[in-house]
Amino acid sequence: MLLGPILLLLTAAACVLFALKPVWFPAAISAEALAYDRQFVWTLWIAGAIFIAAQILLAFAVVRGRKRTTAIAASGKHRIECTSGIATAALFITLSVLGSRGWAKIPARAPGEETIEVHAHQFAWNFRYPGPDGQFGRTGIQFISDAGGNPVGIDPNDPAGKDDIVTATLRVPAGRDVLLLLHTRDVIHDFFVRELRTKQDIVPGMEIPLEIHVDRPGTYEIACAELCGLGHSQMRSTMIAMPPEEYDRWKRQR
Amino acid sequence: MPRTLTQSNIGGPPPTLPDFPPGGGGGDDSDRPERGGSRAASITGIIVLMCASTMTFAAFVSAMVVRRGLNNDWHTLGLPRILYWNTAILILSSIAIDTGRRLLRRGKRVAFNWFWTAGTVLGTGFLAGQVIAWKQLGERGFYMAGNPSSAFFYVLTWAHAAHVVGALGAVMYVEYRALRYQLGPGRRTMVDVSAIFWHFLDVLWLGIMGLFVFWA
Amino acid sequence: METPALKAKARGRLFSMCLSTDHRAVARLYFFLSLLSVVLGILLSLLMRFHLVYPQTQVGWFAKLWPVGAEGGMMTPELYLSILTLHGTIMVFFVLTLAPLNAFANLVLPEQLGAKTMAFPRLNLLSFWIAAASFALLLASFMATGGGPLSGWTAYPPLSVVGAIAGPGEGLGQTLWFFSIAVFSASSLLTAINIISTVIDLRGPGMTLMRMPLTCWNWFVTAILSLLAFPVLLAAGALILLDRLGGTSFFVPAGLLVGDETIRHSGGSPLLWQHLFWFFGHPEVYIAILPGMGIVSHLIANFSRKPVFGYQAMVWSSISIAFLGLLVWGHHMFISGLNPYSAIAFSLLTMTIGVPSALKTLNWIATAWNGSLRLTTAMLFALGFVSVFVTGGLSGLFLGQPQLDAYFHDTYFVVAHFHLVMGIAALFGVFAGTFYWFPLMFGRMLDERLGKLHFYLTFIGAYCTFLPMHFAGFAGNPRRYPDFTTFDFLARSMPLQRWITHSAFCLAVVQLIFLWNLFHSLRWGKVAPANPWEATSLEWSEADGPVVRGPYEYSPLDYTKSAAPRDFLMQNEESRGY
Repeated sequence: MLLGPILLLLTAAACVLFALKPVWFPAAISAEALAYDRQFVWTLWIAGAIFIAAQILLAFAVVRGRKRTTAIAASGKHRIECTSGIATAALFITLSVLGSRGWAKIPARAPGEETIEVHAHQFAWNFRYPGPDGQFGRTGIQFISDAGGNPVGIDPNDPAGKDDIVTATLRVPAGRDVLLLLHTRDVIHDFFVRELRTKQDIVPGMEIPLEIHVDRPGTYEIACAELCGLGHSQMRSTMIAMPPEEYDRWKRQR
Repeated sequence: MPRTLTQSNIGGPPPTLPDFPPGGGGGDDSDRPERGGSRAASITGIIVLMCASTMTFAAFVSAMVVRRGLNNDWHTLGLPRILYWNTAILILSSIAIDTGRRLLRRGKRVAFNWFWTAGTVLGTGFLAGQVIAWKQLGERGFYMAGNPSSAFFYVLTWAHAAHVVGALGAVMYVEYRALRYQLGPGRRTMVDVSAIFWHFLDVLWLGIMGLFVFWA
Repeated sequence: METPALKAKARGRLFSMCLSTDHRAVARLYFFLSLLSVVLGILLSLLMRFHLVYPQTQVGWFAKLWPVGAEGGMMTPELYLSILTLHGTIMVFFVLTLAPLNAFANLVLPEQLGAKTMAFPRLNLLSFWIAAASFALLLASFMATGGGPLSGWTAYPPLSVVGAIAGPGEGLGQTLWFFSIAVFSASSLLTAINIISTVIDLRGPGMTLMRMPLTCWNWFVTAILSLLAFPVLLAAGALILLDRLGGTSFFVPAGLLVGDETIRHSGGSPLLWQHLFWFFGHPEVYIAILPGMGIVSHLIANFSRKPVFGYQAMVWSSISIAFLGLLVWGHHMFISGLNPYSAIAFSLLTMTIGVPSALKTLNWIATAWNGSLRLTTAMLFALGFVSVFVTGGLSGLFLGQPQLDAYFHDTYFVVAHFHLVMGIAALFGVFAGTFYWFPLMFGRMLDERLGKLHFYLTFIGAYCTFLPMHFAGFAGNPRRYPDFTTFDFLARSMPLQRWITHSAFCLAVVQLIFLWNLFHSLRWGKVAPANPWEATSLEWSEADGPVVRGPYEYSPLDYTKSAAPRDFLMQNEESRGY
């Protein structure tokens, strides 16, 4: 007989929890992230409404039935089932379609954007900029030497690689399109910045593009989000979004 | 007093060794007629097993299709000639086994024995031929490692051979019972079931050969 | 005094317990293997939760148990990750596949169908011992030199292929793990063959398909799903073992440098493993939940004294869930590097599965609505299942949208989702089945008061542990992290994580009530009457006649009107008797 009240209490507690928000998303820093937040809030309201309705209905069924001595058979089965079936289908498919639109809007390559290579390995991040010649030098795993200062493996004989800038933190110009080219030399990693509301698995043997456009300057943590070994939780770096002029100055100084 | 569950055998400790339930799909039942239910269940069972095997091979083939499209390191395998002989032997063994099966249905035990024995011998011959084929491939330098095409060839043929070993075990068991004249028109489920699975392996083999002759 | 006769009797008992082909004996074997597994799995989870929030605390006996992995009494990251792998593997395979399907179907399916036995009793027994061998291999993998595998139950290559250079435990431990999984697949296939053949061919006289209880329907559908999914896991396991031991490169591309070792593999695709694994992996989670759904339908009808609302719809929704479950594996790979267009297709299909699931939920509530409820422990767990399944299923609405999944993938949001649906809801199905069918297993009843206490505390504890966990996901807290001390944003979630840990410990302690109840009632429980729940299905029947009616004739109108002493008719009850 406790089940009914407990269900109602739990529903209320869940609502309170969502009102209080012990922890929450960080602030969004791009247009795509804002679109994500909108889609998330829609879904949350819908899921929340279904959650509350279902738990209350269940609680009522329990409370009503405790006292009853004889069961009353149901009628009109098909109508209830059909209506609810169509309603759920409509609701879920709408959500899916809306969600897909947001997915489709995730930008494809734009001309004139900043291109930066991201290199993940067990257990650190490195980032490479093409330098003033605008070209990335050739790389090969035989040239890789973390201790020797060549974590990306730039071929020393390639002139295009001589001006490449390799860093341990990711600096990006705020307000400009940036294309990240994700690489790894060993196992699957994942590039994750919470404020961008997106992540991308980095698969060895593939060069995977990720388009980002950060709206405002700031410093954000980069985490690895695919199990890559014992140092998986140690793979921390930072993404520093700088005002465009400062970014250009920084590139020239390097 | 209502009968409680502990008063049946399900609750308390059974006092004697358990009885194998009648018609449970095997055991020494040469003097008992087959139960219809168990025959139907055995045939359903072998069909279901064939579905499982098909899924396994489908997974291998889909992996093969994906892998081939990935890189330029696919080298078409030159199939050893003996594989064509093996295919013929397998088809012949299937024909022998099926002829035997039909004969038994009509009660012709002696003829059945001849054909089934032929099928068993040919089936064993197929397996021996496969071993020779693998040896020949190895001599030509095609191993499991190094070349995805030969890797898949070994995977598919080893998986097929593993199934053949199991099926051959069943076929040989039937042979053993047949030679003692323990089978007949009213007692032939194990014959039908092994024959069905044998033909399945035949078709599977033709599929694998076709894959490597025409595509891989 | 131990006489030769007594010794022989004890030997006979052991023999009959371990080698009996009687389906109920096999069911009991599976049940106890699952019980052992769930206790081990829970202990492992407690070790993980403790380490996450108290990483610097030295625990003396850690060092004794794992001299290498927990030197100084503090867990190393590799030990944490190998415990995580073992936890996931044990729970998904040995608890959530064996208990709902193998244990209960073996116990009840033949009787409910009016068959006398399973189709292939000796194969059935063999299937159990193969599962037991798989369990032994799994434990061996954890104790192998170098440690247990640390690649999670999903074992993505290249991490799980390139060997010990990628991490401790990736040597022998990982190899044994793959063997264990391959052997388990074989066991599951044999069980699937048995269940399918029994349902198709051994139904008793009068038992048509549409008169089968929903438990049988769901076991049947689950067995078919098993049949289609496990062979793919077996194939994938064979291929990855060849990559590890045979020099092939199905899943590992060229040009890898792991540590300072150049890897010799070339030309393979890590994504190929993910496709094969998840083609199995997604149906696997439906294999875990469908039997529980059948049990819930069955029990709610029994304890509401009403027929199941929409029996046919329930059958079709089970079939739809299983069928659609085979088509949605890509939703585990939205951000894996797949073609973005495929994500849209997988997303639409994933959201579609919500429709039959919602239908089932509605029908469960509708069955209980206007019923005359008997809130036994079994019924409480069945109703609790509905509540938790709704909560856990709703987080699927977020994860099924690739745009939203791009944030939530590999965060604690996913962990919360699957723990609610699998860890809690599916387990509630097992609890419900245990309380309901305990009389059939051991001839005695479980204690109802202890059962209800256990239910309420578990229900509240489950919500307290896993509902707040969604918030860790909102904050972007990644999963499979051995520690939370490196990142600033993780430090802010520590109070929440501490709450979850403390709640989890309480939840685990509460399960001791159930264990006590189980083992005490085994010997000293109230002796069970023949049909303690006044159920209509055949497993409770003492008569032998053919089936003459459907499975849920509770409170048939003419019975109620006639004020007959009973409000139900068993499936094989001849006359209406009044």
